[in-house]
Amino acid sequence: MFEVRELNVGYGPIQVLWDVSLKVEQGEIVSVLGPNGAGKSTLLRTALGMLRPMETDKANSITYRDQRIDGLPPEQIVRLGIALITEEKHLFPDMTVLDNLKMGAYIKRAKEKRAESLELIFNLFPRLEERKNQMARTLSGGERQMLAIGRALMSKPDLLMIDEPSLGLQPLLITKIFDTIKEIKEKGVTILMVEQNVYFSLEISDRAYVLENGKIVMEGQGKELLANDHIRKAYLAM
Amino acid sequence: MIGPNGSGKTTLFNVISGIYAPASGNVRYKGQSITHKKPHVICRMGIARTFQIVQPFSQMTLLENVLIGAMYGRGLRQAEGRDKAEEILQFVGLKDKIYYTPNEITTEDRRRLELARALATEPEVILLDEIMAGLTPAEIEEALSLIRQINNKGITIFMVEHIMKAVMSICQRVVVLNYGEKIAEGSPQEVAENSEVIKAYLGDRYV
Repeated sequence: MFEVRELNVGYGPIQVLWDVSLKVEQGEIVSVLGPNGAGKSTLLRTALGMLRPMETDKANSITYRDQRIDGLPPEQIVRLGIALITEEKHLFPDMTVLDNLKMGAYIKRAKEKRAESLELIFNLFPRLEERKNQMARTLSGGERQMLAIGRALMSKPDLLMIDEPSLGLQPLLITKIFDTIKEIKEKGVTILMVEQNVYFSLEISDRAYVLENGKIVMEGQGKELLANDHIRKAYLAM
Repeated sequence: MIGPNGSGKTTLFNVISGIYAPASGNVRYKGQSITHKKPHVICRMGIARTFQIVQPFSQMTLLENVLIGAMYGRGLRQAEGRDKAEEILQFVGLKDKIYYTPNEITTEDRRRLELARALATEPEVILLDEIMAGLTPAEIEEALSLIRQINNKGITIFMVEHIMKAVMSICQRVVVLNYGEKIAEGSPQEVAENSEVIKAYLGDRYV
């Protein structure tokens, strides 16, 4: 449903992604692994239209449901059914938790299902319901992560892209967040995520790509990569 | 210090560093109450901190960011402060980026910058708020070695961290908060085996 072909992206003269190609099929969970600075967040930002690829012709493209989306602005890409949770989260600090969630549902098809989405999110994260009338800026680091995920789900995406879902979460919630991602997948949402917690992300991923120095150096099924020597040494410290 | 998300860990750091005043009770440092002192006074007394949500001066270079810490904390003049700032940036691994602005570096590097700024004030105690979040195992090893070096210089470390592997390998004592209360305290081993801690924080599937 989503495909990136030979993508090249840079900041000014500094090229960060080099001929990156990847595919996500409907209903899959796909992970992109790699060290900090490898270009993982750049990849997601480009997919959502927040950054532009360096060159766009037939060979270099981003397509979603057979439609070219490279070159579209982020708000149009969101309307097509893609949502991104960035590492910085970008919450509205002086709005309540509830209002932040509602802001996630501003597109038409999401607005109609707002009540239903809220119920789903409060089920996933009871803590957000406890704090629904608090300003987002009073939330702890982990609660902000829950709110960012919740707000993205409010837009009813078909493809959810998550930049480091487990960042800043306590151990108990790390296992829970990956269970939650699996649950989200089972509700029919396709997932593309970038994650440092290689063990748990590979456990739930159908497939994964390894990005190092801006290039895809490896790809395979989640379970297969968990057994790979390079992965075990570099990412699992085994 | 470990504990569930929202249990009050950062709030406690904010009280210690003088951002919030406690409703009751007090904070003592070297036999003296610092409870109602202002953050800048506490910093000059030797307690520095990093922020989980990083707070760099975004219009300034990394060098200038650290220079402020050096000039403010121990009152160094610009020339000596500059040497010191460069030395610290090298120590944390940002030597090649001293003229970058915080927006031009990765999240991981921004955490190093937080650490560098805190170190520049020449603290005796440093509060580290989740500086290892989002690091790969190899990067965690690097961060641990950096913290050990800081500790070997005689600086006391008080850290909040969720990466249990790091906590287990570096801390002598662990305090656990839950809903704003201390529920356990002891060696990393004792705490990791405590059933209340497992229930509230670790979960039984975590390895």
